[in-house]
Amino acid sequence: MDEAGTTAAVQRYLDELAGVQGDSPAGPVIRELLGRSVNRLSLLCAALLHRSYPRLTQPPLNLRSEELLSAVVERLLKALRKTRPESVRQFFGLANQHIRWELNDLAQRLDEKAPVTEFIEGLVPAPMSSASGISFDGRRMLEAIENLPEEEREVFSLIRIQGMTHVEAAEITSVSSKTIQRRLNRSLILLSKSLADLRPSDGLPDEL
Amino acid sequence: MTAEDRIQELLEEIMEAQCTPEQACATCPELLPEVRKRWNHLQCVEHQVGLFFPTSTRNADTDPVGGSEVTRLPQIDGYDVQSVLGRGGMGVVYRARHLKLNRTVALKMLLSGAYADLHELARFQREAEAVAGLNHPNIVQIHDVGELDGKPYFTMEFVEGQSLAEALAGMPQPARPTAEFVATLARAVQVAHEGGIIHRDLKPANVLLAMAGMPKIADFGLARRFESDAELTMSGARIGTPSYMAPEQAAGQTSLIGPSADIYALGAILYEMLTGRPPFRAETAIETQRQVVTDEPVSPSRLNPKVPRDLETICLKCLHKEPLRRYATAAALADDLQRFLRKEPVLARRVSVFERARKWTNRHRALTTAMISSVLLAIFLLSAGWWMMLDQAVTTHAVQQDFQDVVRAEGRSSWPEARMALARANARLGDRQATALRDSLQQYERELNFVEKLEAIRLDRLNPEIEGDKFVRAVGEYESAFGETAFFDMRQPPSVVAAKIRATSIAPAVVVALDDWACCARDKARRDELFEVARQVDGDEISSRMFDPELWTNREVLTKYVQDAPIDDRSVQLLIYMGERLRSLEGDPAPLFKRLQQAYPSDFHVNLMLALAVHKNGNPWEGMRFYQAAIAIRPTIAVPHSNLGAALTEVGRMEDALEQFGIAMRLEPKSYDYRFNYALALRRLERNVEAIRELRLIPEDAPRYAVAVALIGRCLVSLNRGEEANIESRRALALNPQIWEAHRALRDGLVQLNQLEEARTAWQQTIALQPPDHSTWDGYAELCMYLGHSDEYRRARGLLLSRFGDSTDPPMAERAGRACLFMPLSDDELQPAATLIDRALAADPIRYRGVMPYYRFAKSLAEYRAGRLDKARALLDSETLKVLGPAPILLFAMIHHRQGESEVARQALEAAVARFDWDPAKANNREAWMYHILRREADKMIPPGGPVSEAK
Repeated sequence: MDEAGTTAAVQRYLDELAGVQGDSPAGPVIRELLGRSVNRLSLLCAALLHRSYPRLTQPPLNLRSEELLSAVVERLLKALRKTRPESVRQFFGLANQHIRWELNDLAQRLDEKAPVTEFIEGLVPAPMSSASGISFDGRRMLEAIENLPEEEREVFSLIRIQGMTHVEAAEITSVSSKTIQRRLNRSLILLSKSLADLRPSDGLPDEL
Repeated sequence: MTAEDRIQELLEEIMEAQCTPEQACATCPELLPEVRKRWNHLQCVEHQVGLFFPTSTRNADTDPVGGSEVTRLPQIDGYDVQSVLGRGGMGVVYRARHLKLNRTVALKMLLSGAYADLHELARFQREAEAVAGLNHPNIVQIHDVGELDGKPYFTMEFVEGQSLAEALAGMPQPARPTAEFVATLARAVQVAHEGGIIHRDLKPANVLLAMAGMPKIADFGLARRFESDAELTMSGARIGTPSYMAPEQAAGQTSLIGPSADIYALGAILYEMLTGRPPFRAETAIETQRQVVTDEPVSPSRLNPKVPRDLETICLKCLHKEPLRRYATAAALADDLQRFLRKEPVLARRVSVFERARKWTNRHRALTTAMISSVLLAIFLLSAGWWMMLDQAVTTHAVQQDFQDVVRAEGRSSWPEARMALARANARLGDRQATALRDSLQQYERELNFVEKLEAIRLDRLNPEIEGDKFVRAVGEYESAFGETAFFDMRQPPSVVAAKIRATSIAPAVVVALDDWACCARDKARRDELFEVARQVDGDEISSRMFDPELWTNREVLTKYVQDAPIDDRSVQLLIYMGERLRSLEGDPAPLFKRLQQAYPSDFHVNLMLALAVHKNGNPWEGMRFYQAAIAIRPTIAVPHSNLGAALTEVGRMEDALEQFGIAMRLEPKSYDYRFNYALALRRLERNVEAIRELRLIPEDAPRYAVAVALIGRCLVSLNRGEEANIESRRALALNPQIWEAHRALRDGLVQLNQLEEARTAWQQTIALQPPDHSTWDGYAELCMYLGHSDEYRRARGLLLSRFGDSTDPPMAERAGRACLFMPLSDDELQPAATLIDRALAADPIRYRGVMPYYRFAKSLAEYRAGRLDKARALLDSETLKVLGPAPILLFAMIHHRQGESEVARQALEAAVARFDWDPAKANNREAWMYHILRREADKMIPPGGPVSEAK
């Protein structure tokens, strides 16, 4: 896709959606964009499934990401078609948000493997602590992304979720590539801060 | 600007300029440690983000975290670094030449950022030195440790050849060479372990194959240290997998990582060589880690049918999840492999059918849950009203998880934990209409109640306070417990009962109880029947020798049998019982329990039994150790706390003992024995008021109620409340006239109230009830004499001499001897009394310095009775005249009178009389009675002189 033309094409399409009926030359562009969002979502869902829940992909369940995804993707498409974004930026903002929500939903449903750790307060004494290893979970990360400041979240989503290049992201948000890089960096710093409790334990005990 | 802002800025700078934390912090070194920590973590998060949100390839060039590693070769003094051999997450390995020695070495340099600070560096140095001390042909030799620009490095033997990982390439190897190979590795690992070095990261990639395939283990002890958090990030990908990691290591229980982790890894290597794949390998490290911790490995023979059964057994023993169940040492593993190679029977035991079944069930349950979830998921995906479904699904799932926790906790005999999980499930279910789940919940609850009851029966037998035949009692309790349960009807044929037991979640605990019951049973038919049920549940045979009736009743035969009886999972319960039986036959079960404890160091019962055995053998110190071990394993069981309290009492640590008795009491508030012990401990600490308060809480129907009342009496005596004390003591005696404590309390109370005649009667009772114990006797003779019962005095004197004539304890010898001298006596009686006193005088003069004057007085009295007046007189030195109130002066007077110095005698008598308050109301102790006795004798002998005399 011609990167420089994307924004203009999408904008034109959006204008048409708002006013004019009927097919327009921008149609294929927007379809491709939607397709790209959807593909990206499939990819991320698959990553989530295989990273965190590989057990479900093995016999006897043989869960395939495609089976899971059709419904999720369907919903995303519907949501993106229904809402009428006014700007290109808004369009991708919505896409990002929906992808995050869908991922979160999926993770929640797949989360059957997480050991039950919550306790009903007052009913039982606290259990012995069981130090676990390094284990990031997708939902925590999604939550942390959701809590990023607006600008950082936008850039993070465009690049890490939508999989755009820095140039594309810069064009959509009308800032320089350098700013994109800076925001992306900052988003990582903030993420690592809010995920600080997932920091791996500091080394082994002293004995050899 | 706050430090936090500054740190953030520095992190941004590092990312933007792609520099190192050291460079970024050049102007603010104080922030370096924190920045470095945060940078490492940031990289870790970045890596994780990358896993979930892969960067599109188009951005590769702008990826902020990229390998910007310097490629130029480092310059190190004394070495000519020639080329890069390899790169890993923790550093780079170079081929280098030691210039002076002109030998080729491998030089491993750790990357900056991989270590944290100088302290870490120093630790690295220490470890490397330790490893350098290892000299073994199968261990890659470390030559030198150093540091270049803050980057630590070490040089090691250069091994030309490939690693085992490369050589294997997924191909199964023939069994015998593999066994030989792993035995060689195990011997090398043993040498390292003996040097206190644990590898922590044994894996095929760390086993190098030198010339002729000779294995050499690399990276001893050093690797893990620096990879712990760097491995995820530095090279962007995790190096290595947890495939060879022991479960305790994978679960991050760093405190448990010991030599057994290396034994596990050796097993994993053996596994991979036999089957062509490691025991666990999943698509992701996290998943592999999970499998390592929770799954059982697939038997090697299923992957490669050519794997011999014994070798498979050895391999699986290494891979046991419990570190303690693996080989105790690498040498033991090597030995067993040698046994296999020599075609001898190996020591490793196969997992019993039953244990396998249990493992399978656990797996199966997890699987079931997964399937349920997936079905729910499918429904959810299709359904429109998915919200409700989801809600229910989540609850159902959580409750299923709780049930799994229950089963897991039961597997560990951790009843409180199982209860906790049940409570959780119950709260989760709330008032939901989930009939099936609710039924399961109730079933679990019933099972748990039952199994707790069974264990209580077993523990009950350890309670030293229970009277009568404990085994008979246990049989009765088992009969009624099994009779009441609805799970199975013991009257049905064994196969039916066994099948029903197997269907419960508590089968292992029931088998233990069945074995125990069978052991206690006197009736052989019953016993065989119970064993049969247990055998059918368990599917395992027990040596038929164990059922030989002679074994159960003959101490010598039993002692000999247990001496070298084989110990394995199935027999351990029976052996525990045999130990108990041995004790009841007055044999010494300690060696057996020691052996069991070595095999099952984390078994609660084994530790408790060993503690009891050594404690009973008169070693409270060692007993305490194992009581504590038992408590550490099962902190919520009262028996070991109470026994630990008893042991602490024996060694004089009263306060600590009180605490343990208190814990036992709180753990089982309904068992009044523990409350009684607690009260007793309070009394020993002279906290009589508190003791009385506890004792009053013991209800009338408690078995030891009467004793408790008697003890209240004794406490009241100590509080000088004789009247109240006597009421309690008499009440206790009315309940049970055989209670020694009550007689004694009554005696003391009466003495305190100066009702001496009654006291003497009570005292007689006390003596009649109590086996030889000098403290019971002490003072009785004096009281008889004081009260003028000279016949009873003579009788008491005879008994004293016959009972305590051999006493070697100086105070006791002196008391007993002296008590015999208050009336003239025949030589036959005088001789043993004098001997007793001589024995006291022969005691260590330093230790008994303070009481020597008392002993000299007694000796003087003995000499006086023997008619050796000069000797008697000489013994009454100035020190002696100062002790025992008027007694020495009275003796002094009588000696002088007999020597014809009447005036001196008379004056001495007067002085003695003036020295003491002769009010009979105050004569309520042994010494006062003695003074009165001596004075009467002196008064009779020495005629009254002047008006000063008060003689009656």
